[in-house]
Amino acid sequence: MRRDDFQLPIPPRLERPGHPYACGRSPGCDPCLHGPSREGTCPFADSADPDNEACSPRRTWAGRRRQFTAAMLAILAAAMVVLFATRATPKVIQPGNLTTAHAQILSGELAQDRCAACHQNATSNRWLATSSDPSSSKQNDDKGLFDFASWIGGGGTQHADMPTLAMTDLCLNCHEQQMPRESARWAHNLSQEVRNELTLAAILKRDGKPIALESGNSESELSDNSLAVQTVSRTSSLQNNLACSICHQEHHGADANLAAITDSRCQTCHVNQFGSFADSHPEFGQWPYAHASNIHFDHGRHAKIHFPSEAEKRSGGDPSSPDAFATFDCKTCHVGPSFSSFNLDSTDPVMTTLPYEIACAQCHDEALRVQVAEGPALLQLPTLPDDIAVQVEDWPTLATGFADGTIDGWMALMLRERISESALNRFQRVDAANWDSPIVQVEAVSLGKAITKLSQELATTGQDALMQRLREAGIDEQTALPLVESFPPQLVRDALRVWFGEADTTNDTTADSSVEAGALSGLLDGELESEFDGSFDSGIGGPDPLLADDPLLADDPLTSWSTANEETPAPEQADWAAELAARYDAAKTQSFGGWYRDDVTLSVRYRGKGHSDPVLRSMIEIIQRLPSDDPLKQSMLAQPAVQACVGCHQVQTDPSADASLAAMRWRAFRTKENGDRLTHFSHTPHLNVQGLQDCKHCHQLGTTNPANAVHMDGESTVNASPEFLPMTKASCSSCHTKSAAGDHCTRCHRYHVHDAR
Amino acid sequence: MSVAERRRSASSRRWQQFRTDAVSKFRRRVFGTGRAWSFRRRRIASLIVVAIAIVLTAWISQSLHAALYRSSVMTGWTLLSSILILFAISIRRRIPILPLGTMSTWTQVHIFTGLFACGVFVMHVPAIATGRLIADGWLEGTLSVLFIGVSLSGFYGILASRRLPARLTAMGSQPRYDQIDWHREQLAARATQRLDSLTSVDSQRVLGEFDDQYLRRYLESPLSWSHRLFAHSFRRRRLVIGLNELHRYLEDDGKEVADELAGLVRRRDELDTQHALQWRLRAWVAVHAVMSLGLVALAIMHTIHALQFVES
Repeated sequence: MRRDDFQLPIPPRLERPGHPYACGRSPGCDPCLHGPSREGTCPFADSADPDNEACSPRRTWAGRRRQFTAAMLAILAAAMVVLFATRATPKVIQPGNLTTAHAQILSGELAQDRCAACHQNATSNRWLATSSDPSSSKQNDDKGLFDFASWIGGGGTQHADMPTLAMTDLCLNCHEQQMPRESARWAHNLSQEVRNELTLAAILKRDGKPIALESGNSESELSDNSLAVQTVSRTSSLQNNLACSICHQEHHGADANLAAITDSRCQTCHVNQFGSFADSHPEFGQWPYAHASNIHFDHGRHAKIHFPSEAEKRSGGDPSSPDAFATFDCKTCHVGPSFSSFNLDSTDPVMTTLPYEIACAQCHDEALRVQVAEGPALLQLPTLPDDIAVQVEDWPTLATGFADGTIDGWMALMLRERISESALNRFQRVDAANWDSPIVQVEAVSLGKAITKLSQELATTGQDALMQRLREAGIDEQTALPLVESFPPQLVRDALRVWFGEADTTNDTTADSSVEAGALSGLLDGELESEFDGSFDSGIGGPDPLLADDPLLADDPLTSWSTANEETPAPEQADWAAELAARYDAAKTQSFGGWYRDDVTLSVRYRGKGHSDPVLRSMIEIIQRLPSDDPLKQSMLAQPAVQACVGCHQVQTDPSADASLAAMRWRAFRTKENGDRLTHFSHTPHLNVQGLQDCKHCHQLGTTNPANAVHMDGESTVNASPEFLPMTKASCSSCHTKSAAGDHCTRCHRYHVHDAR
Repeated sequence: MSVAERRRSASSRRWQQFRTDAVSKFRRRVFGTGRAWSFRRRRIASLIVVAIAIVLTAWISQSLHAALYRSSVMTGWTLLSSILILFAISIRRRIPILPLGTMSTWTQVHIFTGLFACGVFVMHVPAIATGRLIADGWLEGTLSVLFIGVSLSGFYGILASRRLPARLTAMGSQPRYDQIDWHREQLAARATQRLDSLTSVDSQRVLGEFDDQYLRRYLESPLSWSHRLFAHSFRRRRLVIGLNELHRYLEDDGKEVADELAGLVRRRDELDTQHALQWRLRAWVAVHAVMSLGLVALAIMHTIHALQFVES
């Protein structure tokens, strides 16, 4: 049975809603009619009436809530004072941990200094008064704490026009090595002119009017495309003052990716916008084959012509004979990451090729040694007529007789600051000068004296004189240093001793035959040299098997002629004295190259040692630094040893340009250019995919074009037809999707061009 | 009926009629077509407006981010403005004399502005993109905790303000919150009075022992925290069952008193439930308000600091 029908007393009707205190008498008795005050004091607290005994008022809900709120406010105020006005402030307001790289740099600093390392502009405020730089305080004061327009970039201003604070400059204090300070704030670190060109090209390509990215024609193209010009100028002007922190946002944890950028940010500036890589990214075009490689190496001809013919030659027609040349395997030269010792300074191990000595020397070394054997002459005495030689006074009798010889190349380079340009031009071929002309005779005398002085300077002052002469020719010291270092002044002293009067004490044979040798010098310098096309015996000899059977070179005619007159013993009976008496044969004794004296041509010349000759390289770089319209440049470039190097190492990107302006590239891999710098690709991760381990999967050889035969005419030409078939986007997009290998812009494109190394 | 309609099959006509009815029913229920603005209609319209505002803010934020502006500055200002608007309701509540609109309107604005602020908060806190709700750093982390706390208490408040009053009304008696203690003491006093009125010695001994061990402790104890947070009737059931089981040892007067004591226990349980529900209705407001106060203070500090450190 439920007994819920009992009656309870009616509650007191004292209504004081919201009052913080209630009477403390209940429940023993009814509360008084007055109730406690708002401060919690009982009205009978001071009363002595025993019927109205004072109570202890208790808090109501409203009172407890006010008490709770007041306590919370007090705690909050105390916390804010502690957190924002103490040394703990930097720790508290730090929005997150720094990335590991930045944190470890600042780990030794005090908390305030850690903030000031990057936030000098902000640390001068009242909470973080740690900056000692008055300029930053002034800057902050000038802006005012509530300069909202500068904070949010509002008020119609663009981010490019906002005031520049110090943070980016502070970033560059450490990162200046990665990118120059002056270009750090430019979009892609590219100047506005370069960006204009790229943007204009993109606009015109989008509109189906591709143009070449040449600064020369951009102006005319600009004038023809006013809309494009407006677009270019609009987009480009916004990108000249970008702060680092716009993209690189710190304080997002130790493992945060500072380089992360969304695709939408790339799309903002780029005039050609597209969605996913697979759907709307443009085809690669000529990438990565647009730029000529550093070395003239025709993969197609080697694969389809040279390797098969070499294999056939070596196997003797037996197709079953195993041979290294049986197949053209890319990995024979592109050894990949396993051969790290060859990864000199290439960023992609696969692109690194084996050095010449391993990859090329087997086929090319013999021909190269023949080509570089006769190097350029630094000093070469022409044969002057008797009357001229008498006027010169110190002119050697060995170089006196029928006018012959040449004044060009290196000697002309060192003489042209001393004699007139017309004299040098006139005596490029001494025998072609009009010797009846009194002007010619006067110029010949001055030429002879200049050569004598040059010879004496080289003999007495030596390398300093050579460096001085090269400096006068406009060559910087760094470029000329390998050449000057290798030059032996003692050789010139000996040469002068032999040629200018003491021949009888050093080389009687040469002295006795001076007249005859001088008479023959024209033949040797001119006819023989041209006939043998660089294979003259002074530069080549025993080690050259191609010329070993040449009857003209088997026995030096001059030597045999002179020795026959002296009735010297036969070679097989010659002792060391006879060997010394014979004409010096550089081919026999200088198989590793070096400077030598040729008493027949009365020259001091250099014999190349083969591939990677630093002296020849220095000579070529000196030639490259001469003005393009310098007549000496062409003649110096035509020198056979120089041509042997230039044939492979000179790269000319524009076929219509002057060949002498083409750059020399000594490494097999290219220096990154702007286009390359904006795109990065590494073979290594791709080789983990089994299907991609065959290079031909992506790099398919094109049709072999005879125009690619760069060595055929000794000139470096740009490939007229593509060596490789263009790569297609489809070969990449199958893997590079959002869910697989990734298709973000930054997967293949880098923002900072100065990242490339 | 036209010729074309006569040629339709009966099933086709039924399907057509069903579609027409469903569409009109949907329009009527959702949009209130043909009716005055109901509460449901206002709520749907407000939710649509909030959704549009969130999408618009997200689009602007994304556009600013893509244009290399600092979208967090824009979302931060939006969030701070929203928080100040939300906080303004407490000012309005304290100054009812000002002609600032009805409290009902303010509450509706408060609710939907809060929903909008939650959306902007998701855009503003970068840690959320990495799956974490709490931002890095002490200040930002505290701010995140406060915002989430205020939001959760607000959501609880929406639910509580709609469900708890109905439960309170359904319970019959509705004592004032400040008088619940008085009622509780009256119940205890009544129990003591009824136990003292027993004449049978056996009943006195049995019920007195039960009172000493269980009943007094229950009737004189304040509301437990378990009951305050999760209203339950475990103790009531145990006590009522215990009193019923005592009947076999009681005389008639003892049985009568035991029944009344069981009624007092039931009344006390009802009083506890009333107390718990009213406390919850008051407590969430107190927590929400105090956390809002801290949130506003820290948000202002965060704004000042963030704008000082931001670089152009």
